[in-house]
Amino acid sequence: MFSTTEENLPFARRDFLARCGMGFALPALGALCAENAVGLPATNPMMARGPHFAPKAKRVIHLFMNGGPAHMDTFDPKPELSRWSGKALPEGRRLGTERKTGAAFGSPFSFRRYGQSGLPVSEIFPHVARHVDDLCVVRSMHADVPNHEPSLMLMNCGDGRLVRPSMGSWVTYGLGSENQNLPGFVVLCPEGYPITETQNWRSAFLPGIYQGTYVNPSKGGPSEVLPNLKPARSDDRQAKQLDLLRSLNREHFEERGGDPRLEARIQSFELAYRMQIEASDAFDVSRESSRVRDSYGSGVHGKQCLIARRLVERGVRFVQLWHGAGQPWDSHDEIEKNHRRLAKECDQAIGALLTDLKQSGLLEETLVLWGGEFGRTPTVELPKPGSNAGKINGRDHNHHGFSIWMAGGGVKGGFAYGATDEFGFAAVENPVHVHDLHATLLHLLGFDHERLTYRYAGRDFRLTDVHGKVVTDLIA
Amino acid sequence: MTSFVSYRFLSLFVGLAILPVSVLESEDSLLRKGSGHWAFKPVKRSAPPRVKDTPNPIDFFIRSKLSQNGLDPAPEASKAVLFRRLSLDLTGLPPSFEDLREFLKDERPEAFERVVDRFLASPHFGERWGRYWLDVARYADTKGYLAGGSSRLYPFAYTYRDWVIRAFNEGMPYDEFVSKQLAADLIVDSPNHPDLAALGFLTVGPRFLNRRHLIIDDRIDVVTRGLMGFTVGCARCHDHFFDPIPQEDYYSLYGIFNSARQPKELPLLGQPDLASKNYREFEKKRKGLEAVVKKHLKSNWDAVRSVDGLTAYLQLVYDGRELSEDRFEALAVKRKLFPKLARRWRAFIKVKAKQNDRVFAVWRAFEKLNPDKYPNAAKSLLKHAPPFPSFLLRALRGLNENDFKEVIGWYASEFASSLKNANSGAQSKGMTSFVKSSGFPVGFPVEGIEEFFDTKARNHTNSLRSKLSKHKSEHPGSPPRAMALVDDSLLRNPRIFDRGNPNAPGREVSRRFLAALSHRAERKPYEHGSGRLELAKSILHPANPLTGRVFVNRVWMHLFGSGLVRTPSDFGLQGENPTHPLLLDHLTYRFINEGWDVKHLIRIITSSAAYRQKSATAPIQDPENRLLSVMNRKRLDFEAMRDSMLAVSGELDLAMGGRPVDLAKKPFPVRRAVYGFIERQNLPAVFRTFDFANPNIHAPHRFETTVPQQALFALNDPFVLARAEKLAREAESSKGTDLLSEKTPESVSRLLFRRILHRDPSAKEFASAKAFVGSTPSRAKLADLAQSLLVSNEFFFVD
Repeated sequence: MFSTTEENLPFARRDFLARCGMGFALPALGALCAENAVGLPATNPMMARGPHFAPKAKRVIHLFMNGGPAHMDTFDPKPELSRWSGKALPEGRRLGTERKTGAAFGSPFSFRRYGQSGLPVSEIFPHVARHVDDLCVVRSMHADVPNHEPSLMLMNCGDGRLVRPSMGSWVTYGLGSENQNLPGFVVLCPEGYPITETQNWRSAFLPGIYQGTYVNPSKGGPSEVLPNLKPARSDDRQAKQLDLLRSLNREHFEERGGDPRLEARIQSFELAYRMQIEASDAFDVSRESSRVRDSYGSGVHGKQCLIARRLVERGVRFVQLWHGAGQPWDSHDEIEKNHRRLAKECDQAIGALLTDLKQSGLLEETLVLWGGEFGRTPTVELPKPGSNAGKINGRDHNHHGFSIWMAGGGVKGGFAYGATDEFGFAAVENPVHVHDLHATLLHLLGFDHERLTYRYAGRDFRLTDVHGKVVTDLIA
Repeated sequence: MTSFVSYRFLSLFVGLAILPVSVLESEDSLLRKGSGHWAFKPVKRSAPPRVKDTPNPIDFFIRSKLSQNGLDPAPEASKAVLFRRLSLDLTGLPPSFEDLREFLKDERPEAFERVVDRFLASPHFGERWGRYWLDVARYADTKGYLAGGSSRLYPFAYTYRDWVIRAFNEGMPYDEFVSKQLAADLIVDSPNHPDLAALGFLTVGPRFLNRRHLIIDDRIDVVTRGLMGFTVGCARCHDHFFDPIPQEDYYSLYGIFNSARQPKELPLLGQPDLASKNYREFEKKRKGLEAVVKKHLKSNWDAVRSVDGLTAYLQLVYDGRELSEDRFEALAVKRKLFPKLARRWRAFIKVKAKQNDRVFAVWRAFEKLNPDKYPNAAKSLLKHAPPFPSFLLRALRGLNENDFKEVIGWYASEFASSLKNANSGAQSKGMTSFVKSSGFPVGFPVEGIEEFFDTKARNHTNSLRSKLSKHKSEHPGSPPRAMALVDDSLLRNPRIFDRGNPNAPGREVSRRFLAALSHRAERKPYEHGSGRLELAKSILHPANPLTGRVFVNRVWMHLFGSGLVRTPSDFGLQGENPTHPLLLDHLTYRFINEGWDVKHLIRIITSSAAYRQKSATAPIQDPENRLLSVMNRKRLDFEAMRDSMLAVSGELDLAMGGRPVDLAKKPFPVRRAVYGFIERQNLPAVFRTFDFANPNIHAPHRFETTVPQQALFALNDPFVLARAEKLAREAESSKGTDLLSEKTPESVSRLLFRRILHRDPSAKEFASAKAFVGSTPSRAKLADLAQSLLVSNEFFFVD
């Protein structure tokens, strides 16, 4: 009953211009008008719009392994390290990290080659390994410092210290979202916030609407995931109330000879009405068959990966999944036990997500990004109270070199790029800085990262600040 | 303006100049950059252009531009519209039906001016305009992200908020308002002066994990953009690309803020009522909590100075004498000793050994010997009899067990007893003076132990302090304090950080004002303390044309919905040009020359026909309404929306000032939103949904987005439902209006319209409302009607 028709949408081009005057300009005016004809009010900053050039990817799922998974235990096998295990690394080869580390510490896990590409994957990721021919593994990532907070900020916001918008905010600012009944940028993290909390998905100086919407997938029914999503009134009662509201607003509107801002607010109630249903539906994994649910596994990771798929299916632009509150992958002790457990928690779910996206064809236009804020040292961490349990079987943070992988969204599959040294301490071949990853991600989404800017405090800011090179070798 | 649209397209509307970038400019050419820019030219006393039938100078300027563009001004808005506009613009609260009726009856020619004066005199004026200022000041009640159990609260941020509100209410001249926020401590004459709270302007910013250079960066930004629309922050790493700001200017300001610090104990504002029960309770608990922190420090301090503690560290140094740094530290960890202190002991003994120190001569001699050689070594040491301290002579003579443990025991017990003597104030000589020397590893005072804590001990300290800070901030008896600053006794001239990196200090510069805004001849290094008071004077100096213009523009923006300059915190070359430069100067000139009087400025602007004209959609020739041929229709911001809902439901608590309340927590507080707790780090969703200013950075203006989450709030949020319910209850229990003695669908509908929209319904609205509530209106129907009115466009927009 709350259909949006053209007649109640007096879109005025000048209103668009008025928006521009308020601090944010939208790209591709032509596309905007066309979008509007299908029923979106001009003042909606989430309206879908095109980037600078034809994109390979239209949306992003970021699987954030917060705490920092060890690359030599996951996607970057280091046989030489195993040979040195227990011995001190050669002079000058042990690099500084946050804490003291000791001798070389070979991976406790075995690697196997998978697929046609024959890329090796650790035994702890058997489900992900089955998709290896779709993975583009970057083994030469590097960041700036070995500490969680600045590295999380760098990975998410492109700057370790200053107040800058997150990558998801930049992307929704640039592209809007394809479904107005759902937030454009959704963040899922079980049981609470990661370290540095909501800073990871902040919009900083961009309008607040581009900030990530946090959802705790481990509790609450589908209608409780977003504030005020659950209708306060029965459907019939709310419908009557909205009829009344519409007639009051309509009379007010006509008395004033129309105004696109008044119209936009009238429309927002129609959107909200539909959002109550569609958003709850999107978060309701019980609507999936038990076969599908089983394929994702029973834990919260299965649930959140399934939610992620349901969200991108519905056109949500950017979905970020965190492994858990705090920094679960931060295995300063017992790397074997902890990494095995952590991988087991998410491996099946990620595998099922990739399978589903591939089967439905969504993977082609969906960029899946997996990784932490940094990797871990190939040397064993020495005991320090408060920092570890003193068991001398864990790894410290390592920003000198680490791995991430991408899948879908226009990247090469079954492909490994760059390399760390023979021990896995530092990126040595084709190093890719986090800024370069951002530039590449924006490129895949159709943006020149130097032109996706926002004028603030006398400067045109961008996600990559004054850095970033697109790594064209990764692009299919 | 953003710029991923083509510049050509944009520049049609804003005349953006894209300047070539050259980093290698000389300072002179850099400074010349701004020479032709409007904002750096002196404020001119401009004579209004002549336009007939316009008594108000503002309208001279507006109308001459309109007529140049073939546009006419809109007619004056109705009295009812004007009354609501003024009420919300000046106090942030809607009028009541009765007040409005009074005003409509008042036919005196000066009725309008009387109402303006009444609103300006209302204490709610300061709450509205103070909150605008808090956006400029990136106000919050917390520090932002901090790890390790440290308290994130700013328990006394509220005293700054209250000071700002009071300053607006009392009509404090803007120059005084600015000066006190930068340097109240250098202006007032008593250590507990209420104006010290003003310094919160500098100190309520985010703390960036306590990184000092970032804290200072934030202060430079809030001062330069907030007060002068000048983006000095851009010059942290290099000369400003667009504006005449060399990198050294950034560091001149850096030096000013780096020469002032927050005192450990914040000054009390006035004297607390010592006799009050609340205060005594607060003090009792505070002392208790402080004692717990002290006890924790003291017990750790005692431990490392006891015989056992000293033995443990000395034994570690001995046992680990062959180990690498890392393994030595690992051993310390294993023995549950503080690694940092262990390192200190090790280094100390090493240095003493190298210096052939007489106290450690015996240690040195025995350390490398096999225990069976000890007796001979002791004899030989005694024979040569260097001036050993007496405890060593005694020990050497009485040597019995051939074990280094014994040597350690001599030192440990001597150090422990000398430390005790030193502590009891015994004369400093011999070993007492040795353990009192600054290099002695445990010679520090009690508080010094903190520096050596491991993570566990440190986290424990933090959590104890957190409790104390929570108590200070939340206990009703906690007396208010100022988030003050004091100048350092040691003043530092800043060094330029290469590319903004504090680890790469370069050339020294002096603490002084910005080159572009100073007369070359008058630009001298600041001489008094940190220079904050001199900085305030420079900011307010007649040679600086920005300060007045920027503030006048902010006032204009709040009254008209957008500024004469639409980049309110960037008046530089990247900012927009003013739509009415002569008008901006005219107002600025008057503002400064009539005593920086904010209320007077508002009086002048609201008396213009431009302000009093009807609102409407902008004409097609001027789609952004830059020429002001109509009044802009304004939407209620978060605070005005929340306050208005509470005001019309009759629930608003008008109490002023004091500790913040959590607006997002049930039961929802019914105080004005300006008193809400602002959690910088994780701002509740409702603030964000309604475009609240981001408290992490100076906010030039609020965004206005229209998104379905706002409508979801309107439809389903318990806060809105509760207001609707309250109104419904009142309508239900009403005995009819003054027109009808029986309660009818008409009477209850009318009551709700009057309460919420302060008017009677139109015939059509009357019909729909009556049809909606039915012949015997139920409470639920009334609540739904009330809610519809509360969330209607009429309620949310100001004509």
